[in-house]
Amino acid sequence: MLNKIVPTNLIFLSVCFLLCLAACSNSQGDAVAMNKANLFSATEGVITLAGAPLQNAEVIRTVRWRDENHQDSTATDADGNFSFPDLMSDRSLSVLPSEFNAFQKIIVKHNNETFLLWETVKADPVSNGELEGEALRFTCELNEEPRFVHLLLNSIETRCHW
Amino acid sequence: MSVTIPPLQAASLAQVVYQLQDSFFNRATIDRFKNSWDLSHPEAKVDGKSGTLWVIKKQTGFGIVAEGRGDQFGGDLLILLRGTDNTFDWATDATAGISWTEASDKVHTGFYKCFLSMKTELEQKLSRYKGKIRTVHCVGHSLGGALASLCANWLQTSNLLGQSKVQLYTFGSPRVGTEGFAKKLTHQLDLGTDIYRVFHKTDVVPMVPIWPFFHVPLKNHSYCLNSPGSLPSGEFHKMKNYVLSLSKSKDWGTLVDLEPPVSESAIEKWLASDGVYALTINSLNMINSALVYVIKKVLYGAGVLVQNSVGLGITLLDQLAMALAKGYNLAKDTSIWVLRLMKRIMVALGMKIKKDLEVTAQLIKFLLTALLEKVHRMVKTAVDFVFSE
Repeated sequence: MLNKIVPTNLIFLSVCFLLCLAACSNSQGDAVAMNKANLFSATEGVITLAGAPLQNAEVIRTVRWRDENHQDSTATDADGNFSFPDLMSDRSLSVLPSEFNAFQKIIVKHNNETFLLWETVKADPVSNGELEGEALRFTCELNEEPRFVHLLLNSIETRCHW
Repeated sequence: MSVTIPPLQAASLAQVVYQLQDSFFNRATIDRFKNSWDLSHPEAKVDGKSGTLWVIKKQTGFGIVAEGRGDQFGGDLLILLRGTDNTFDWATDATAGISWTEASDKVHTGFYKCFLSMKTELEQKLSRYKGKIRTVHCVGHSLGGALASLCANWLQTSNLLGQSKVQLYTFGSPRVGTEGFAKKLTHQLDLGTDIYRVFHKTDVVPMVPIWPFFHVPLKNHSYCLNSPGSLPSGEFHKMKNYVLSLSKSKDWGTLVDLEPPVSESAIEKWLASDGVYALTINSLNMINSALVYVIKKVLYGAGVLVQNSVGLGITLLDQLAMALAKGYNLAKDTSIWVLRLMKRIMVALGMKIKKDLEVTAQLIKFLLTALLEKVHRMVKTAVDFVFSE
């Protein structure tokens, strides 16, 4: 007679395959040690207020990825220019099951007011992943209201143009 | 009339579920979907209105419930699900087995435990919508795809929302339940036409767990996207690559690359052949299909019983090996297929096959173990390669 007991224990192979994945994701650390995630790509920009360069204003960049929080700042020069270098993660990437998402923000302080220049979630750990390949070279006008820009992978709130 | 979420939007939703920050989406993300879904939190007013987003946060996963907006999705509900690293721990728990759902469906214990951790809260949140929702769209990537499948099954069997239509969208999902579960869910969701299962050809996650778990929809009608190479890839599991692959797909009808079926005659032909082959995605799929085919023959054809004896010191692999060995010894029409399967595995392992090969439980166990180790190494190599570029 056909026995209808479900062969519940025969999931072993399945488990093994999953174990393979888990082991792989753990063991990738060494393989990708040199492959650090780019959390915030190098950024250059010019800030204006009513068309005039905004001088000596504090520009603050923040980014969060998993449990890493980074913040750095700079000041605009006489022409309103500012720049930040590439910000790389402290750790290497892992493959599974993590999805890469770095929460980015740039603000500028002026006359005790804070203005949002840029906010997005970077979904690609490569350089210039924010603009899906395009370099981050901005012109930002503080009198403009922030607008939304939707790319394929990223949605951005910004006062800047590129 | 029910409206389906187009491929790119479904993929983008499955991507942004990872971008939730302290129960909030950022304003740009909310704006992106504002014409279709209200992703704004009740505490964050948008255009003077309170949002309707509900977030369930558990150690093991996240659930998001959002109301539909506009002509297309007004009156619909969106359920986005995702797992966490903890879910993976459960999924990889060697003692995990099959659990019975409330509707007596048999599903993977790890995924089901994760779903159960969210279910009570989900029930509370959804009960107010009973009779008011046209379509519920369950969406998830990876482990979230497994959770979305369980959610769709639960909604269909619980009558929580009444007569609402349920649609399921998964990206790179692992297998979730047994063949019976897959059959039932396929039937429930309009014979599978309300299931949009998307996977990259080389994505490694949809390949697991293997038998006795099956994908939904059960037969074909899955959307297999092309991805480069022939080896399992971690890179093409990432949601980013699903979004990129679907960037030009306006509707599901334009995605013509449905999963190619593996016929029984193709499996038999492959098992009967003695040619050398490399372990690629195609051959791994064939090994999985062949394993399912032979096990079915042994279990149902020869009536071999596999006892549930966890805790008695017998491993699951021992049991599988013993079942196959019994099938080999019991009946001629099953023994030939067990023998052929073992020979094909030996070819994959680069082993020399003796003419008078004696198939024992010990040999079967050895071969299956060696095969899995080889697959392990191969997957690792594939992943290392991706990241050494």
